Amino acid sequence: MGVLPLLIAVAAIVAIGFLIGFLWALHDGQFDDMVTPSMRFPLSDDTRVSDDTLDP
Amino acid sequence: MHCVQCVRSLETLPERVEGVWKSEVHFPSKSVRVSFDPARITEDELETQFRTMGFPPLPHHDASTTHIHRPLIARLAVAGFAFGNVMMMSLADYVGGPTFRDSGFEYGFKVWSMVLTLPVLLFSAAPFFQRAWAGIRQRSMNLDMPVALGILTLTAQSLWMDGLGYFDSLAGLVFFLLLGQWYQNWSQARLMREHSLDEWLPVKVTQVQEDGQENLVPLAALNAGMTLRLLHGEIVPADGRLTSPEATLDLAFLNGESMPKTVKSGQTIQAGSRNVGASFHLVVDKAVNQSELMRMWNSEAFQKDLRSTLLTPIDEVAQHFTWVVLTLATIGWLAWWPDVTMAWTVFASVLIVACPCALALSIPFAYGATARHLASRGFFLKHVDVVERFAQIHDIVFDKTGTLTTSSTFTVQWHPAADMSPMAIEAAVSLANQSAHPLSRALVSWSDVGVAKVPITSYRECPGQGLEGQIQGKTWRLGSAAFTGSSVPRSAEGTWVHLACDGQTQGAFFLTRPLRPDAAKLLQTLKEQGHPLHLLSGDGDGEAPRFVTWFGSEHMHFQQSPQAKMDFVDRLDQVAMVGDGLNDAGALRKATLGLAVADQLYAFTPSADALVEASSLGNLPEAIALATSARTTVKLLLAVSVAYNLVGLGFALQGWLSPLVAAVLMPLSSLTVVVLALTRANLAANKLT
Repeated sequence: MGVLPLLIAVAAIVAIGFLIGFLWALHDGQFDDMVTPSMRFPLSDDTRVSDDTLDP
Repeated sequence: MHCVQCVRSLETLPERVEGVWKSEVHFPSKSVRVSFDPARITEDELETQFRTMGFPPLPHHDASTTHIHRPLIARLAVAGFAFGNVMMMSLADYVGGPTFRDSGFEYGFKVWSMVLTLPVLLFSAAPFFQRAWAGIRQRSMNLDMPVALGILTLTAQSLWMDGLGYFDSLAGLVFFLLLGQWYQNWSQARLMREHSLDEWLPVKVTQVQEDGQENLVPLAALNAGMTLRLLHGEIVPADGRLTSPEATLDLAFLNGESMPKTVKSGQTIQAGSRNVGASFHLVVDKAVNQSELMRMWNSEAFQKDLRSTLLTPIDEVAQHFTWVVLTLATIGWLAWWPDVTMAWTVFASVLIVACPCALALSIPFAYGATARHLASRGFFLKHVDVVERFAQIHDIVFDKTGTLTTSSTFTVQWHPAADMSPMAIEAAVSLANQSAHPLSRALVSWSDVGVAKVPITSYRECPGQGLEGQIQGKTWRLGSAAFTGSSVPRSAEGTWVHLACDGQTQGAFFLTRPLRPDAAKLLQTLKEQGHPLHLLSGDGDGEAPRFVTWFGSEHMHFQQSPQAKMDFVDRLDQVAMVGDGLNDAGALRKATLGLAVADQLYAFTPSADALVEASSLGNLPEAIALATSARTTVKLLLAVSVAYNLVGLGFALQGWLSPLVAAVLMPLSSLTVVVLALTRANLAANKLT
């Protein structure tokens, strides 16, 4: 059982790391626009398809 | 900007335009961020580039709006993190029981739980304390008070008691409450965007200097005395006097009238008019922000009072909630006296269990989900609470022109004279084809099929009167009765356009605005549902017979000024006003629900509660049904949360509210509310499609 405090400490460090990572991404604007990236995806795909048809 | 293609063409800008490094679209705010090299491309060139692509840039507005959700998400993340990690500590207690308590870990686990909960108290829950404190200072009860009281009691009780305490419930409570707020904000982001007038006025206008040189100046730099040149299609940004001989203006935005008006040299022109004729010169009288339009826009009368005068069922409960809870807690305390420990435990348990988490979640989820369904049907609300207004309307008042009838298309009837020339219609249409006047355009589109155009010589257009041209040696005139020398016909609501050849009357076109496609069905449905309908129109009563079946003659009021409309609406309770344009603004504001009809979503409606796309107006009965269903949902959720609270109170008053009971009961009640609210809103929406 002596290992328990150590495990909790390690788990806490990992969890806090993720929390800080999330807050950092949030502050960086990662979650400001949840719409446009999904529209960019078919867009880049489109370009590739038309490139293929142009250069056989 | 509305589709994948728009995003594509904007974001591939660097590939096509020299000097642009990066172009990034932010779709929700309909903006694009462009990095460019000022040495290779100027701001003006960039603006022209966007204009030619079909994205005329609007003046910059506050970009910080995109960041408003960040603090809330951060609070939510911290609360969620603490909730999960504290629960891990508490679980040892719930599962291990006496074994855990004897293990010697209890003290360490409690300290760690406290450390994890501290940021929740200080950071995540801060808004609840702030709002509760604001409520106390204003001496008005709100739902945040019992929430704040519950949170404080949970903390105090957990610190004081043996064992791990209620830290898990505390973090969970804050997490669920913030989740509700986040959902409400998320729903709101898709709703109506507040537009400021600046977005609608041009970015820069052409200034004519004394030496005749022209240059572009930004609006903020406009001063009284400057001379401007307004091009065809431009909007007048400031009040001024006309110095050119004549100007043709579209005042639709100011007074709802779609017929252009001709202004003579020296007369005043109001900001907000659109130039629909040739370019003209104007001397500015007042700076942009002092114009009549701005004054009207910013005046009290056009801003809807955001503090809702209507109380949702939840608000009504919140008025009394805190007092009821405190009374119950005191009764519990007295009942256990003189066992001091138990008395305080019961007192605290009542405050904890009564924490109205479920209540606080019902409005965000029930109305939030409904607002989203309304948006998909073309109704864009200013705020989620507007659902409540939708649910309460009884009388419905309609404006006529632009609301029930279209604002820009016409139906045309041809009334030939007895001795008409065989080529009269060809001549009329050919003349009309030369002009950009709305009536001319209407005639051309009416004749679209099978009328040959004939060549015209010495064509001229007399603004406000009509058109004249030579066809096969004869002078044809198309226009007002005075212009063509025809007799004035019997009066009827609509517009007559006369045709004459060498002074001989050939006949006349009668143009009326048609009803919007689903207007008849809409009025019929609303009437059958028992809503008293009223018609208010600024026009004469010529069209009364067309509407009498739905409104009845006593409910139709013609020749109503904006002030009269406002007073009429003010006299009714639970009334929806459906209108368009600034001339209805007063009435829209006074109504319980001000619904602005817009042909494009960028219309301006500072005083309305909601905006509806003109093509979606037919969904109004559905929208009312959805909102009414949402209101029933809220009442149902109220009953559910009261039931949960009664069960909890049962535990609390007997002193059985252990951390385990709280940890099960509180999330369970929140989840029930969320699931019920979303299910009922989705069911109601699906049933109606």
